Amino acid sequence: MQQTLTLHDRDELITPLYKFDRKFWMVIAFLIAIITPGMLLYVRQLVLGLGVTDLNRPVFWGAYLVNFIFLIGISMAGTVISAVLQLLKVNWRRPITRIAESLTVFGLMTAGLQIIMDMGRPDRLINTLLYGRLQAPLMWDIASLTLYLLTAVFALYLQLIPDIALLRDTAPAAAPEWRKKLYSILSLGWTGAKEQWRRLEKAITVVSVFIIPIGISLHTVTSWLFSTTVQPGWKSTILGPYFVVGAIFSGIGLLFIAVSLAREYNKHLKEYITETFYINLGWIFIVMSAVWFYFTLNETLVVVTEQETLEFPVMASKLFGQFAPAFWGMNILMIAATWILVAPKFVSDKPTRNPLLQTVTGLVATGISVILFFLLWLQLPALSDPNIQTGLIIAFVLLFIVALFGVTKWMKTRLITSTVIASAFVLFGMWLERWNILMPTLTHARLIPYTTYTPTITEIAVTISTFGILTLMFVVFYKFFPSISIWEVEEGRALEQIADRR
Amino acid sequence: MTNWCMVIDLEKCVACQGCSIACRMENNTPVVSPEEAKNGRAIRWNDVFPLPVHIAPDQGEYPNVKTHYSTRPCMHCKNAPCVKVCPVQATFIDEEGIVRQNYDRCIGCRFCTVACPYGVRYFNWSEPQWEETLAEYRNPDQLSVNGSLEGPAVRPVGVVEKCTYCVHRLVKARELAKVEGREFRADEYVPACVQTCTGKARFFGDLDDPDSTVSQLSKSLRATHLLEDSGAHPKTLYLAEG
Amino acid sequence: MNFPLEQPLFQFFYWLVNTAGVGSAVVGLLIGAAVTTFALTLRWIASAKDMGQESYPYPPKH
Repeated sequence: MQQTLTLHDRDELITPLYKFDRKFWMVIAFLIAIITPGMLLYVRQLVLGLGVTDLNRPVFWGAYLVNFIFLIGISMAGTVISAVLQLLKVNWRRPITRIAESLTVFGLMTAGLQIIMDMGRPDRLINTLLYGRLQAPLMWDIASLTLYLLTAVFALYLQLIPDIALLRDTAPAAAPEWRKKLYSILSLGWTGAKEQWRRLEKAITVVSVFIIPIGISLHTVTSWLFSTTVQPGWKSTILGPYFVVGAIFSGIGLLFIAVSLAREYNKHLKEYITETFYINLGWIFIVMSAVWFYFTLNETLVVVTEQETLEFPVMASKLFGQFAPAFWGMNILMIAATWILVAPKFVSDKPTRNPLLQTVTGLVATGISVILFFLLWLQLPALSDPNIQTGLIIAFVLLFIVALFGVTKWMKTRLITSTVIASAFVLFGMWLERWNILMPTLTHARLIPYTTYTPTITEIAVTISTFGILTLMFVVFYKFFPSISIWEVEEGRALEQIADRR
Repeated sequence: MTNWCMVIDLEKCVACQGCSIACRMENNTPVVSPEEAKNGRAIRWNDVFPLPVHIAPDQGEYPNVKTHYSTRPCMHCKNAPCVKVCPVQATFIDEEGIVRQNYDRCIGCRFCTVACPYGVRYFNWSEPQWEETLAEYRNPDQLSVNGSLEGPAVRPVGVVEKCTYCVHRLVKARELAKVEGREFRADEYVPACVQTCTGKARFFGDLDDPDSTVSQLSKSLRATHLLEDSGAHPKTLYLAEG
Repeated sequence: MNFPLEQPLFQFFYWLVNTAGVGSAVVGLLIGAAVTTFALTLRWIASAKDMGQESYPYPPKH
């Protein structure tokens, strides 16, 4: 059997799969350590009821639902990157399709987990399969989520088949017997015959076409959970596309972080996942941020201008009420993220004497503006004087702008670091965005006095635990399967060779 | 078919909260600690609260103040937002226009509580508890429909509950008429809050019967609904003050 | 009155969306169809006959 896989590639991509070194076990131990407290507190919640959270009337939904929407959102990464770029025959997608698609699968799994954790009677989950009603938006979500998860697993598996066959044929002699058997079963007797390749390609194309509407439907249906109710703040027709845009935005953010972590974990991946990928996907990231700002402006401006009696108190609580820190925090994070991505493209590599562009200026300004933001957040009584407040806000805005300029040069030379920072900002900002959609409406019920909601240790621990589970699934999965799609990279190389020959 | 409806005359209501207590005793609503109640965990199927809700209740300067109160059972909407969103039909509108709740089927997703614009639905955040003496006075009635518990039956943790217009009383009255071998009449049944009302401000009956008190009162110029613009077509009628 | 729910067709639609269990059946059908399609596709790919030389290299020569 002829194989084009070089010995070099094999060392870098297949050998690590059988190497359970200290680093791997330390990562696993760390993840288990952050998962355990949340799981224990969840068991406590199962026993005592949802009263252990800070959920109340009228805030019947809380951090769990925010996590659910967020996880649904980050699962968009696979669809966009893999399917859209695949259909457009974009070449730089090849090394990261595997990571993107697996993020979809794991994101959806943890999202389902969140819904179960949010239920008052998880033991009656089976009722949705016995008495499901089509009129209920939750039923649409169940249908869409299950279909999307199945399709995503299928798409991931299709992409894996040639690589599993490769693993089956190249397993080292020392590999455990059960792993050889697992690969042998999962490879479905793949031999790499021409007809098999043809059929696989066809199937992948068809799935790529179908997974895009399914993915969009899931995000839209999730927004319909809210926009189909009669509650002020949710009755919005743009919530569907807003969720889709936010999903793509945060999905790309998570993809950047996951890819960068994988590169750090297995340094060899740096040869496959190059800066080209960061630059190209970075452009899509910038476009998505622009679209996101457009939608956010739509959501805000319309309500602020009409000042309707039911809608406006909800918006006011975001603009200057109890949700102001979350709302403005979100906006600041998104502005900073966009700046980090865009600004380096406008400065030159050469050192400059312009004091505004010095790293020191940037760091000092950032530090002071962060302190100012928290001072404003805490709403200290000593600072309650309107003049002092206004002064603080103006100082913050000015320092923030100086900080943005100051970090530009530093970011210019560190493409990957700056992309990861921007991605982290976007992820945190998107979590806050979901919080800002849910919480203001829930706390501003029509016939119940306005309330507050502060997550308790249970919700916080369960949230950390959920993200721990997501990472754990990711880490374990890539101990069994190569983290980049070997055959797709080879295909790319072959295509390049053909192009070179011409 | 009968179409049960309640009319609340706010002119007569003295805001004594008797309806709230009667409802609590009739329907075995669990008691929560003051701290929990402050955190919004109190369960009052029938609530009494100042109006408007979001502005200080006493308006004007002492001694010229005015205070409005409203009492709020379930509206038993004709286009009930809670019924529309229940994924498992644990809540449903029965043939006589009462929005009921099946405790044995509810999965505790709390979509109905979020969807209800009136906030009449309550969730059991923890295992229901009664102090010793209070537990002895629990209402032994319970309604079992196809083996599922409804009405005043003690609710398990993690399910949603709500005002049912004391539907178990309706069933009881029907049974009694059957035993006594006579036709059931609509005026043989009233919910506990109507029975107890100090100011005789509450009326109950069949809205589809043109001769009933409620349908007469529904023609009053003062007749109105709570949040008429909610699109839920609420049924419980209010006779406005003033 | 011209209320749509008085027509049998709309009554059927209402029955469809408002009956416990119908939703489950629809979701079940959807999931069942998807799983069947996926399984058949996998079988279709795996059952491809070897035609001439088998090879890993890419792209296949058509």
